[in-house]
Amino acid sequence: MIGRIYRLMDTKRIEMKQREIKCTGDSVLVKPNYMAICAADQRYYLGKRKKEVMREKLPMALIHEATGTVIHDYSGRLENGKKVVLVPLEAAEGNGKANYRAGSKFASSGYDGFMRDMFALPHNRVIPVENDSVVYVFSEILSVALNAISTFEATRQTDSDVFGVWGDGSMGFVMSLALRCKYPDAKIYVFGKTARKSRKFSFATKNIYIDNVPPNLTISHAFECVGNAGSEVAIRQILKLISPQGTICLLGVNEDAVLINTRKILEKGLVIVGNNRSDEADFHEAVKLIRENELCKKYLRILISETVEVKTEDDIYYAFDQDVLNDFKTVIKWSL
Amino acid sequence: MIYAGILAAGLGVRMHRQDMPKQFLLLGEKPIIIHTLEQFTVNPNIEKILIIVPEEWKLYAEDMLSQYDFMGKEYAVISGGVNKTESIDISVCYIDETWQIQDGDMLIAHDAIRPFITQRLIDEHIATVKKHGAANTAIVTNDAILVSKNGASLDEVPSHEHLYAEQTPQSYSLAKLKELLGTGVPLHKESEFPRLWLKAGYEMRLVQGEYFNMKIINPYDLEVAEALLKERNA
Repeated sequence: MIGRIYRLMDTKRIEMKQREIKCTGDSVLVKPNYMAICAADQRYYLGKRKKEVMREKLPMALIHEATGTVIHDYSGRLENGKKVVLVPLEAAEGNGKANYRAGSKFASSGYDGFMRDMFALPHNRVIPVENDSVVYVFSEILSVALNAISTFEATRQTDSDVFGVWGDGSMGFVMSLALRCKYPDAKIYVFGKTARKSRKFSFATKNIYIDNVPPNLTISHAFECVGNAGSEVAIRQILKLISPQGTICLLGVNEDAVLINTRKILEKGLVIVGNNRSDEADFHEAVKLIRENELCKKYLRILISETVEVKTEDDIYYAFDQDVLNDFKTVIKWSL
Repeated sequence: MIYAGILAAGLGVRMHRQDMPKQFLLLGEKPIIIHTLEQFTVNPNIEKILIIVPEEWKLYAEDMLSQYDFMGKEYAVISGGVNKTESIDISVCYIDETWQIQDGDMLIAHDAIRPFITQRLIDEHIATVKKHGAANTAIVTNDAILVSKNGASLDEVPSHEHLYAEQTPQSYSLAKLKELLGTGVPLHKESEFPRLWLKAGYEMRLVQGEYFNMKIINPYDLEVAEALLKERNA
């Protein structure tokens, strides 16, 4: 079957290509419904990755956060028209979590993402949901937060639930929300720098500005969702405020190396854990959380800054250009 | 009921290097007609599919189509007429005799040799026929169109701003089609059905086509189509 794929060829240049969709007995043919633009997509679109990375990875279709509709399930398990969450991780065989295995592939990171009119995925990469609620498009980012929480639980050294989340962007929002859902009685302090953005974190215990931290405030564990140039400053502040034997979970992506005061880590006996993406089990947990936790669903809805309907190739550029201006998530209603 | 009519009754005389109609030639790993059919098969709004083929290739088409997965959709292979207009007439008669045409039924007629049709085109045709009764696919021409009555000298250069190239699908309300065909219009003399439609006083709306919704009619087109599909697979 001939399908169309919209690939980023170069900075701000997307071209439609025709290509044959290959289906097997385990394939589910889907068409995308909603997509959410991630900061990682935007870094490719704007050419903010290093030149050699751009050369190596492009051309490539962007987008790894998406929901879809089943056109046909070749195994006969899902009915036509069923709404599904799309899983971007193609897991390689091996030990440990699939998102860290060397051979695993991830959509829109070296491999084509979901920006296509239709495509086939193996059965284990679609998760059925009961309706086409737009918030399921945030299953991927929520699964990343849940992956961080499960790693944190496996490594934490103290029982205290006073959490600090650094970052007032979309990842910080979802990380804080996931913590609120999993630890309803915890103290959650969100460290940000923009009042306009921090106001959205109404479920947090308190929003704190990074340049105006109350004296004597301490946290037991930290989740860093800043990334880029700000991550070094955030980590420095975390090392200052975190209690001994705390855990620091890093989620922010940085193109460059950052300086970390290792003396502080040694003195306080801290654990630092890196987090990258999520696996199939995290996705199922995210979908379950959205399905069963009404508050989670309601708060995720306000994560949307703007919804752009994409009917033409020009609308794709509009969506990405608008996303730069938006504080939180730009959702694409995919009608191509 | 929404019927797709895949027009595959041409004998492909222009594809001189091959000894079978062009719609059965391979594009990539599949016959051209299969690529086209797949787009209609996966569209959830299309309920039944008619495949109109040359009489002498009907058995071959039935054999070939029996090997493909129509995803549970009902289909029929019928013999076409001498031109597209007659093939549409035959399709309407077949539908009425087999399933009985009801109000609201429509026929989305599409050239088998346009395998790059999109879901957007199919969906817009359906929406347009529901609202206006008929739809044709048009695309702005990049080249100026010239008129020459003898093929040697120029007679006219029509204004570019009103000229569009016609593609398919062409889609019609089946009740109106039946009404028009019941008036005994001379089908064999007219190869362009939309002309008959307009002459009869019916409205026909335009749906924006795609430049890549190309017709594979000669070896050059097939090479272009193959090149389009040679992109690295995802």
